Amino acid sequence: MTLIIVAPILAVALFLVDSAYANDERFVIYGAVFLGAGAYWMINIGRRMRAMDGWELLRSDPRPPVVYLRPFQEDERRRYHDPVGDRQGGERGGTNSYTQATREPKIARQITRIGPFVAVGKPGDSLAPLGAARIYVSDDEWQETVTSLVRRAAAVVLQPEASPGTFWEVDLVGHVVDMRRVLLLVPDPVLRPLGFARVRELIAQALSVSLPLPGEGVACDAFMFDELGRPLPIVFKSSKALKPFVQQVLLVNGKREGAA
Amino acid sequence: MNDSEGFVEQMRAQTDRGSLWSDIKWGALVLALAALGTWFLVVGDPSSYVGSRLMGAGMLVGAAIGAFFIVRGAVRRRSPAGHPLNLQFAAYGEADAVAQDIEADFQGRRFVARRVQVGRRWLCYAGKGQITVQRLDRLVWVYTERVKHRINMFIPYRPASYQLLLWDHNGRGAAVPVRKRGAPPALAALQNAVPWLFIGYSETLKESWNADRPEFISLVESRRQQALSRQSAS
Repeated sequence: MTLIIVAPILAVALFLVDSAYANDERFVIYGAVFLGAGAYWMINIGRRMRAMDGWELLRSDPRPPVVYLRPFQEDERRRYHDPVGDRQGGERGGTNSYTQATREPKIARQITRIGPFVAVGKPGDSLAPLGAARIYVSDDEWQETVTSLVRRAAAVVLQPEASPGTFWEVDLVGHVVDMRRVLLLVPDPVLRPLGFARVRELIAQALSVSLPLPGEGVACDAFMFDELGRPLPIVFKSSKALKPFVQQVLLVNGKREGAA
Repeated sequence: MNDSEGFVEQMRAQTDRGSLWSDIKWGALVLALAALGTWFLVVGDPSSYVGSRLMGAGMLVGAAIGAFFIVRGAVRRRSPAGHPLNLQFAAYGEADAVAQDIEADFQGRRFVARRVQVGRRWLCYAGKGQITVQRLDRLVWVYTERVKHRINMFIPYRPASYQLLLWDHNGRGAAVPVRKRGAPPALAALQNAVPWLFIGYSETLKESWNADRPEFISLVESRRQQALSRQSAS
């Protein structure tokens, strides 16, 4: 609906500005940058509009799902170029640019080799974010839905945080899921040692898993666990970064199905 | 500057001078706008009578609004509660008590305008219309920032300038202009006065500040407790 209103207004505005400054070279550069950014924004919105609903995806793909458990604020968390905060005095070199901090789109393509990638959607989303297909449930039934999904999941992507909801999810995973099928997303221990230490403590309490100390470990984005429960760091550098995890999960699930 | 005046009085005098200079600059701009508006209104462009008059009227209205804000600012600064220095002091409690504490901290030192002054408990700066007063034990992170001045993000129009960025435990920052050569001594003075501070910039500190601020502030607090216990032990 927003697009239907905004697009014609934008087009008329661009036409008017173009008519007024058609001879100015700068306008061509600014126009190209502006239109490029606009096009990127529109394509992104288009992809989000086309994204399949979680329930629909589960119906269309018979494989056991991969469930993504994270705090809702992770969907909107931003990574700023400069320190953030109210500033008084001095000069500003420019605006504080940012990128989305979530690693969900990065892992989505690789993880769907295991099964349909789903997550509980944040209440109030106007459009589902890119990555896992969203399942929207009411406040009083989300725990029941998550329990049911996790019990039949092929794998779980877990991003723990110190919030009651996420803590409950971590506890659930600790009781229900084989750790070889868990991908643990963590703050980079080199870039965010304090955030990593918080998550490390939480994981030690809830899953009885000991991650390396922030100063001891290498830079990484996630951990997978081997058959002895040892954490193996993963860096999301290449498009095949999750291959060992995907192979391990397929192997474990194949054995599980064979035994059944 | 009268050396017999106390540190705070010298800083107050510099603040008043800075405010006056700022008023003169803005006043000159308002006068220029008013003069240009009057010219457009009275003489104007004969080929576009209505457009010229409208522009002139707009400029005069702009000048009147500008004059109103300049006068209002000047009137506010005359009252003790509205003085920029007292407003800075008020952030730390009763203004007179804060002024006395700063005076005691900089006992015997002369205030130098446009230079960061670091005492044992306070940091003061006054110059070019900016006044910054910071209590050192509230600071958590300090570093030097290089500001590039560019047109359209590419074309430099003047050399880069430098400023000290002082972040406090409430997440508020103060940027204080410094010269390139003046930054290291100021940081060294801060390191000496507040050894538990994080000094210098790194991606790790930036990410921790942005994403894990409660832990960042707790860490500074624990460093402070350790430093104080070491001091009391020795």
